[in-house]
Amino acid sequence: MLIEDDLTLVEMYKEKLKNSGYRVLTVTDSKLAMQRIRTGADLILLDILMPNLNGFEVLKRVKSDEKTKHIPVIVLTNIGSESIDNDKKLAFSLGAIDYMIKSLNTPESIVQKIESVLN
Amino acid sequence: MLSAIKKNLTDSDWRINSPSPDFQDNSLSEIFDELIKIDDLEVVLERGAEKVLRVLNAYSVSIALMNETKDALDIKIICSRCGKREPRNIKSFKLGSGVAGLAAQKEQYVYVNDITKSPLFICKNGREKGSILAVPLIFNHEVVGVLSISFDFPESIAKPTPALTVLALIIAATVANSKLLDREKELAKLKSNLVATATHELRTPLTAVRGYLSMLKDGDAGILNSKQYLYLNKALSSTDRLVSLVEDLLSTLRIDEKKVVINTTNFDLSKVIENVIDNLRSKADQKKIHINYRKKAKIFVNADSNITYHILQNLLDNAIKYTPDRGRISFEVSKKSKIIVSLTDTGCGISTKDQKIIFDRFSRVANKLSTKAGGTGLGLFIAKNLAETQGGNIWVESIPDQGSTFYLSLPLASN
Repeated sequence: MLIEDDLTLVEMYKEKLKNSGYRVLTVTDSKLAMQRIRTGADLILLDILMPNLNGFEVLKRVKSDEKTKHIPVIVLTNIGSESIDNDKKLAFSLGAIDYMIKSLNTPESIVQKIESVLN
Repeated sequence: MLSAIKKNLTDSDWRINSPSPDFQDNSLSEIFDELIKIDDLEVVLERGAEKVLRVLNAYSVSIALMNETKDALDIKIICSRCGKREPRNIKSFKLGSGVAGLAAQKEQYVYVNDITKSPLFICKNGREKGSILAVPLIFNHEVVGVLSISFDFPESIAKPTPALTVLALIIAATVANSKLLDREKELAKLKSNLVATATHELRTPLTAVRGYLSMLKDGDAGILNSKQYLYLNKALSSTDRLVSLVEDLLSTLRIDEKKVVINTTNFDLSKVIENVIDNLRSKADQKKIHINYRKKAKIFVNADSNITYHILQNLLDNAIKYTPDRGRISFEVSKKSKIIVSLTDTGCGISTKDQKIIFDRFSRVANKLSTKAGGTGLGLFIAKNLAETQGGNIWVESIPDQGSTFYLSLPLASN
């Protein structure tokens, strides 16, 4: 499941993931995220800076819900930094399994990360 | 302005001839020095009020500051012999109202000899006798507040003494200074938010550009012909440079704001060096540069592994950029009071003059390879700052046309 509010990026990641053989559910309104996640997902790609409900809040809810807390979450964001930042620390403390900066990772490297997590 | 005031105080013979034993040894200049160092406005006011209370042996001292709209004074501090206390029935004076309000409006001191008989005394606090002297706090021709001193008896001090005038000026100057600092902090915060937002807004379209270009390269839209592939590689390479620039700017901002978060652990440095080499090997291979690292036993250091990776990656990336084709780069690790990693290249070298500036921000050395190599001139500035933040350092030794050795020191692993 891809939770992302930028429609260009939604289209791009969806295309890449479909080409790589994945079925992708997209959520562009983070307020609806929990409702959709509860219907089931093998993995969540989660943006942070979104209107209404930010990704950290979504992550907190995913990890505190018995029905969803087992789902691996990869934070995929353009805020913070992969090496020298508090945002990454916060994401891990809330239960994310990875923190990736979108501009530093190509769609292919995100697919590779998903594969390594799911396998 | 502040330094001019201080000079006047230092040069002046005004030393307070007060009977108070606490004050005899303190010059006004020393009080100024003490107050001006304090950033926190609340502390400035508290210390200032305490000083006046002690010097004049007063019943109580209060300081009220002009509000934002400059139509009233808000009481910020009241100090009495029993200590600091909160304002009771009145928390602010309109301009022209009460002793303090009148002093602010008239921009001169107001004295009430008997508080029980004056309509000006509006702070009805149950006191049956006493006098009050309100001195405006004026700095740079502007009333910033009022210092009010209450005495137990009438006829105490009916007008500001030279010492009190100077003390009022010192408090006014430190209040103005502290407000200026607050404004600077506010501006710095605004700048920080602006740059953070701009960084996010720059990264997002870059993600789409880089993402779609790399999908084209990976064949997601079909097979490309050789010319399309060539053009695509050029576009990707320029996009990568733009991505690096945004990242460097973001790192510089974090360093400036002291927001670099260090997670120090004991880790094997050899493994980090190997990862850095693996990551940049294909770049070195393109120039047929040989990277040599003879791995020894595990070398443990006490630092942040991500940051160390970032620094070494920057140093190796630079070495590859500035080493001509078929050159050599070698890593060595030695143990002294710290662990020292040295990275020697057979590149174009750096002159003694340039060695002094290469760690400054935006510094780029002009030579035959630098134009081709590109870069923002921020990489070494960031690397040095990150090294220092985790208790290490970076320095360079170089001979032009022969090569350079960059050294990174890291703290030894803790037991």
